[in-house]
Amino acid sequence: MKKSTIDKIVNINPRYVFILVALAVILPMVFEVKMPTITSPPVEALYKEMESLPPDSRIILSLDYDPATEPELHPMAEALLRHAFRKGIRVFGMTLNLQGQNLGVEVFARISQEFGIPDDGSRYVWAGFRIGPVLLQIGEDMIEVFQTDFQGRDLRSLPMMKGVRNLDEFELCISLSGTNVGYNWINLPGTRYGKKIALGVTGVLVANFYPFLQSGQLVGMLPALKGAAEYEHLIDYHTGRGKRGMGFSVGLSLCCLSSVLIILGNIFYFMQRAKEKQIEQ
Amino acid sequence: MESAIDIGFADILQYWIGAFLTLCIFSFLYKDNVLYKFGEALFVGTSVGYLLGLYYDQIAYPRLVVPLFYQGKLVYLIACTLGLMYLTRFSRRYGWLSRWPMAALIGFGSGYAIPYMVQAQLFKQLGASMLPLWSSAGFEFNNFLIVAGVLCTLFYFFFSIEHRGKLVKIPIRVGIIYIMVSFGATFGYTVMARFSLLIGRVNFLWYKWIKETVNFIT
Repeated sequence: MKKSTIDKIVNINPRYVFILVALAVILPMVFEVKMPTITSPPVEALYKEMESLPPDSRIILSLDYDPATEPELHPMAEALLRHAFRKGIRVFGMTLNLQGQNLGVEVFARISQEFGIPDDGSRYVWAGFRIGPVLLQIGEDMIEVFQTDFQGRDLRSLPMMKGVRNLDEFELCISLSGTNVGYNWINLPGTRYGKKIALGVTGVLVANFYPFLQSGQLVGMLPALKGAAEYEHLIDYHTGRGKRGMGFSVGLSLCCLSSVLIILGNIFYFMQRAKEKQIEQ
Repeated sequence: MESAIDIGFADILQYWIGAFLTLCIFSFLYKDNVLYKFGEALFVGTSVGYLLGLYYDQIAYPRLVVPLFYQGKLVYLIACTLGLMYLTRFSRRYGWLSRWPMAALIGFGSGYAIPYMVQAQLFKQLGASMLPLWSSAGFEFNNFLIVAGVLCTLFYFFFSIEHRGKLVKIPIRVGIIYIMVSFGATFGYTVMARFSLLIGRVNFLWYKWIKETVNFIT
């Protein structure tokens, strides 16, 4: 039986869609199409929070992700570290994800090298992974939980950790994750210890955490790769992976393409259904 | 000040291996083939090997082997025994023993999580949805949207009365719309998350593999 045009379109070979998606990503990236970046309130709020911190204040940056979500979350870590190092904010790096340990080693070493910051524990510490109820324990005695940094140096011997006992000495906690670990940050350091919490999350989780912004339990949030792009824009860093990836050129082309495909898919689906009903009658 | 980092031959080789394996996996979009199977098998094998090594190196060795066997802290025998009891799952006769460590873990986990979860995710969220509809500036439309959304969505899940009659149906309809909007936002972000992974790979292929190779040669 000969297929109608509607049937042909509804049953289109998915490879054509793959080609369109590939072109929507590749073309704006290769030709470096420039479009203005518009920042959203959750990203601006985190930026302002970081800007309000005086030099030498301490923050916790917890890289709670693994290589599977690295493309979305690593650009956030890079942007936040750049901002912190530029402002002279001291960063305590840790992870609640074992596989995030080496990602942390890489990003701390690379960004500190870019800024010419020596790895002497004066401006940053990468403590790595610890197992157990870490978020509960760091509120009581951080040194006891970690004891050493990733390289095995005693935390008490590192200049940045002088006088640090627990979360009280940190102004802000930022967790980047692709899992529900963000809830633990809100529940324990946020609620029990009253610390300011900000999150960077993957796209899948963004809608889950919006209510915490409205309730004031989060001071800011980086929503997915788009959030990283916006943060890079705010810190005036225009060649980061966030802006290259989800700068408004690539992001807009993908949004337009996926919207058009969804709308067309629905139109043709209803047309096909109407036609089938007609045949039945 | 920020400074560029030099790229050496080892980095370029690493980019080429990464690019080859990325293209192997992408080749599945055309059809299943030997290159895809090679990439997939290599990924699974290296992931498992890497994880096993990592778990032993970062958890088992420093947290169990060293204190128990090198420092003679016998209290670690309890944790070790409980851990080993998980493995009895493989035996029909002794499988029941695995429930003990699970019970301990669930007991600890519940005690650890529930009090603060209730406080942070229930009470604080409830407080945040009890908003004034009128203020000195007049009618607060945003607050009205939030309050209406909370009430109508809760109403949708209220099954003690039959969902009949206009007085019941209207708030339920509104609740469904709110739920749909929430699902739509989640779906949209999920699609963008998947796109982000693709962007991450294309980013690597273009900026690392192609551009860095060209820079290295020239």
